[in-house]
Amino acid sequence: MKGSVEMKKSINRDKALFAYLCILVPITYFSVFWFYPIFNALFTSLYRWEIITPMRYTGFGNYLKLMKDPRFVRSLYNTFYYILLYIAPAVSISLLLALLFNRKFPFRGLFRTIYFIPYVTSILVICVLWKTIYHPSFGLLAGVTQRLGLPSLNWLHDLRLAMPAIGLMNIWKSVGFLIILFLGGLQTIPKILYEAAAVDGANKWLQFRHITLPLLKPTVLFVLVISLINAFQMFIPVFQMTKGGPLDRTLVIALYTYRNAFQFYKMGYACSMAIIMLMMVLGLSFIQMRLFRSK
Amino acid sequence: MRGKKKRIILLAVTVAFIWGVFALQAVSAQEKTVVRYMYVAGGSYDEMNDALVPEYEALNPNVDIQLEKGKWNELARKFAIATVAGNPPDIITLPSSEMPRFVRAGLFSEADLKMIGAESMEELKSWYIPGVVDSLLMMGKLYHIPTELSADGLYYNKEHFEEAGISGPPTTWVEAGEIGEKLAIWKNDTMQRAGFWLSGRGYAATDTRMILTPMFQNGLNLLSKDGAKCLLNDQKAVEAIQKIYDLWHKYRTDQSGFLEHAFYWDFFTSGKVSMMMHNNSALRRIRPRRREELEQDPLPFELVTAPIPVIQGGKRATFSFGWGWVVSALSNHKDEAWKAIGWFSNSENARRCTVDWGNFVPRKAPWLDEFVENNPLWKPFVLGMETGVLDCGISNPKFFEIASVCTGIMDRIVLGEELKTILDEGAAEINMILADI
Repeated sequence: MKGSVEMKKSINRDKALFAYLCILVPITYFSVFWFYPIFNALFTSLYRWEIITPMRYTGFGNYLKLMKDPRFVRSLYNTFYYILLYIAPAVSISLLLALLFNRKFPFRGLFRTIYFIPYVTSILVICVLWKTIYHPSFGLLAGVTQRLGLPSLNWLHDLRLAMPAIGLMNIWKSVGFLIILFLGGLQTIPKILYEAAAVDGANKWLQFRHITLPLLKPTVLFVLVISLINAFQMFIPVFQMTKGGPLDRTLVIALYTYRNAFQFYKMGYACSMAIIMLMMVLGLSFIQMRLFRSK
Repeated sequence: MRGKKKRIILLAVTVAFIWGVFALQAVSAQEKTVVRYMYVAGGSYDEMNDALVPEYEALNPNVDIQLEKGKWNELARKFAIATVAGNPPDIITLPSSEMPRFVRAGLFSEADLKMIGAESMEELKSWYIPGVVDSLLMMGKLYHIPTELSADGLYYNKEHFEEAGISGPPTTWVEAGEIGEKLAIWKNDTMQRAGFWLSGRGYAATDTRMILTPMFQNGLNLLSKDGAKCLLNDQKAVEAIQKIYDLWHKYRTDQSGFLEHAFYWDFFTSGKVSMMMHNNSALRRIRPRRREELEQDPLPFELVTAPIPVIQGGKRATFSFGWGWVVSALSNHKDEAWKAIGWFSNSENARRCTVDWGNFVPRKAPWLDEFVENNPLWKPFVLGMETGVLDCGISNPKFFEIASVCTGIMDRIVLGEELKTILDEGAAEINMILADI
């Protein structure tokens, strides 16, 4: 009896050891490539450090300076503006398209593939393509407006249009991926519910409102979280297409952080921005998690 | 039994052979001085180093030059990080705009004239066309030897000029505006052809050049001599920059606005731009060897070049920039590094750089006269170099922060805000940057 207990303990120990070994790999990975850089950034943010000059302790000096930096405030504003511009259209358009692609019709697979192509295309290629499309004199859009007898717009030059233009391009790029997520969610909804609702006389709109939408809520929330984090980290399109201009109207936090770190070599200052950005993403993700929990 | 013996002998011979190879390598490595050389990857620099480095190693069997490549916009960062890690390359090629912050941080060694092969600074100056070495000095000292230099000039499409009945290129900014206005073609208030493009927008260093060029011509620099104050809102600066402002808003020669630097050549060669201001690096695209490679002439029209316009009554001044070889202050092989640079930059190799690889090195030599005579497109640029002020002439470690303000200023100029306000606010922003050192 005693021997059997010992044996059980030994097996459990072996199992635990195996489990620890299994999680050791991801823990090491996250420690080296995630947690260490985060703590290092936190540490560096307390110093004035220009890479090629010695580090000088400034305490919260960088954070205080950030609050007074008009460009940082502008980048914060731009980031939230972009989030507003991007998320609602991206999520609603992809949900509508997912509902469409969830039905059976000829060449459905082909259309799904076509919508997915921008997502798998290099963002740099997309930026160059859209930059040409947006060119005020020689671009595709200018050609269309000219044929219609309308004046062409300076999409990337105009203070009011530059950020929406970037947003439009990003919506175009990311919709394919969001459709896939929504399709995954839609396919988990049992068909029997729709059949029962139809027997009860519910029309398509009522079916969507009372079956699809409630059951799709976890997917919608997941898509919102993913889109929010992606929007917060948006960097390459503005770096490639506008360099933050015109007049800093597309200067988002990620770009301003990059500029300070790798162009001005103000590493301590850039780290304080990165920490602020991290806190914001964590805060927003926490709110999302609370929403998940409440349901 | 015999088979086993054979296998043992074979194994022993193999081990001895491998050991011998490694031992030989180790001995030869011990005998050689290893010089690490980081350079800007791509095109002409690859061609140049692929040719020069093996030749130098053949002439100096005790030296082993190990090449490391980097993208042009990452090279300085790589060097900075390698330096912090205590492992910088011995030689590196860097753009002149990157020099000040590294020089101020004491990371470059001062040029060793003896190792380069010059008896004195005067002798070194005499190797180059007048004014060039002076524009390379920082705080009175020389830290880099040019791999190439570039000055701004005008490029124009002769056919467009003839069609519009214009006899020659503009000499002043006002003329540039008037000619650009004539050359521009509009339809429904949309520009079909630009009359005159300034150097491409969206690249901080180019924007800085566009602001500084008329300032230089009006006898000013961006910063006061002690580097403590920005002179952008000086009355003379306002008058000078007004000329650039007018190109957009009075003459409407340009609608490129925020178009990226990289597209300038494609728009020019496709006939969508009649005249543009750009540095001589564009000529690299039409050098004979490249034409052979492309098996076509990349220009469907007759290209002509001219000096850039000046402010009426002002001095002829352009803004130039360059790339140069520097030696790390942490290098253990400074002598070998400077000796190699001395050889890479000698007159014959400067000729090959210019003629074969398109990296213009303005050595004062008969070959340069012959080159310019045979390639008249180069003439305005040589003139530009003689009157140029190198961008590192700003000599401020915060050059890139200052340049980013200049981009904002150019944005506002393009948008048509009131010029004096733009320059007042720009100067205030730069003064804040200067105060934060």
